[in-house]
Amino acid sequence: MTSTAANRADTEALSRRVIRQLRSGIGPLFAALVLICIALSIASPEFLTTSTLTNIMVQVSVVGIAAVGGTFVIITSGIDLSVGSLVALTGMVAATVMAGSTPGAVGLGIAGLCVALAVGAAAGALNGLAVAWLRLVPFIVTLAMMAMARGLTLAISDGRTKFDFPNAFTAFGAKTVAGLPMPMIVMLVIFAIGHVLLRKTTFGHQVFAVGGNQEAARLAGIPVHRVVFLTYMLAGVTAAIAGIVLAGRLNSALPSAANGLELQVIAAVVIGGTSLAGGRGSIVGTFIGVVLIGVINVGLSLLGVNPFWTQFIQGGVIFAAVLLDALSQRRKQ
Amino acid sequence: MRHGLVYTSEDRKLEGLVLDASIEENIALSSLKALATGGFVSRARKRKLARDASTRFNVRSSSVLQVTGTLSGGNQQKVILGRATATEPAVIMLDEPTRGIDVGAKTEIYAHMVSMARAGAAVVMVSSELPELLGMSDRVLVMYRGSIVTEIARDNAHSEAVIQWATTGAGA
Repeated sequence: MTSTAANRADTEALSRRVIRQLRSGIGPLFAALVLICIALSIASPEFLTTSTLTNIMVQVSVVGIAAVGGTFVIITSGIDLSVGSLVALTGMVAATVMAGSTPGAVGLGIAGLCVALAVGAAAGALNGLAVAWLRLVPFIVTLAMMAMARGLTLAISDGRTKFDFPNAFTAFGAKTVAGLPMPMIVMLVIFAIGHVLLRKTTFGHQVFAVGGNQEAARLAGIPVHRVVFLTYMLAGVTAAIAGIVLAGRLNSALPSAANGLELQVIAAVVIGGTSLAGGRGSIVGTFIGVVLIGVINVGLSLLGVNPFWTQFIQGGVIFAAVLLDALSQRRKQ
Repeated sequence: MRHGLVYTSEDRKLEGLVLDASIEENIALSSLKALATGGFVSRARKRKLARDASTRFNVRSSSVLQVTGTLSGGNQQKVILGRATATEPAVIMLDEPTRGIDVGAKTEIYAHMVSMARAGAAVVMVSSELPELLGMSDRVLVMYRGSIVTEIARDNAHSEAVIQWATTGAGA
């Protein structure tokens, strides 16, 4: 084959792939998001305003940041149930380190940030160690971590809320830069880093291979254990960043913070087209999934729907997403 | 891998390929480090590696972006060989490389094994098919109940002798 013919064949294959993406991948998801946004802006004049839109981004930021790490774990066909508890634990540990500080205490603020990240990384590393090398079931390992991290949070706080942190710490949750709230900026940066890490790097390629066929990946010389370990550690780090943003935004650390957040993370990742069976998924999809959940929440409240129904409708959206994914998979086979 | 040894499994679908991924991704799997600078995989180098391997082994496909699950058994095996040889291994171990493959693809694979050996690699083929063993091998090692019982040089390797060793664990 000459190189021009090869190029043409690749271009054709690429355009076919784009069309396939639009048909089955994140295309319909994006279309659904746009349609819902159009419908909401017709139904409610308040929807399409800068303040509503940035408000949505701030509301989803904690789930969104944690969902970046969650996407990596789920692509390797793992699961991490501990992220909600880790968001609470990292915030609480930082609050404990910064106890009694003044708003101007830069050193203590930085210490709080570092400790939160270290705790998140360590807890994620424990998950990864147990799943990768001890070969324990991810569901159970992270369920145990979920209980331990929540228990630890309650124990070190004695069940009480801690508040008033240095500005150096709350900056990531409460500050605005050029009119944009920091939680939104942090989330977009983490999504951008996650996207590049997954699509462009050796590690990202390895994550897809391990999720697609672990045995083939091992025989091809990929360090499967190390890759799996790193995805859980990454999930711990993104949970810590989410914990920093949440504690900073509220200027307080609640022992019950981020309760059930892991389920929202998994929902966003799955709605975003990442397969729980592993091997397929994208950070862009997760981003759209996260925003879709946020838009539905805000939209329902703008429409004056009883908030008790919000959770019900969220559940329906998750079910629909999983169903669509399964149907498109079956059609392929 | 690090020591220049590669192995291809007898079970292509379960242990050989990431079936949901493209030919390109599958071929690149063992060479990711070589394709990367500072941890970032070069898309152009990956494409070139995949095209070269795909052309060398004559993989019949619309392009290197085709999903490997849609290829025939013979072409899937060629993709695996493309991946294995892309690392320029010193020893290559092929476990039943022609199982469930049509005759044309078998011939191609035999030819590649010969050229790999000519290029200086030690090619170890594991097979339960006598004709291909006798046709391909310089030396045949016969296993019986989990251990090697004899080594037969090419000139002495007749089907009766090999079968005798393989079924009884002893020579005539």
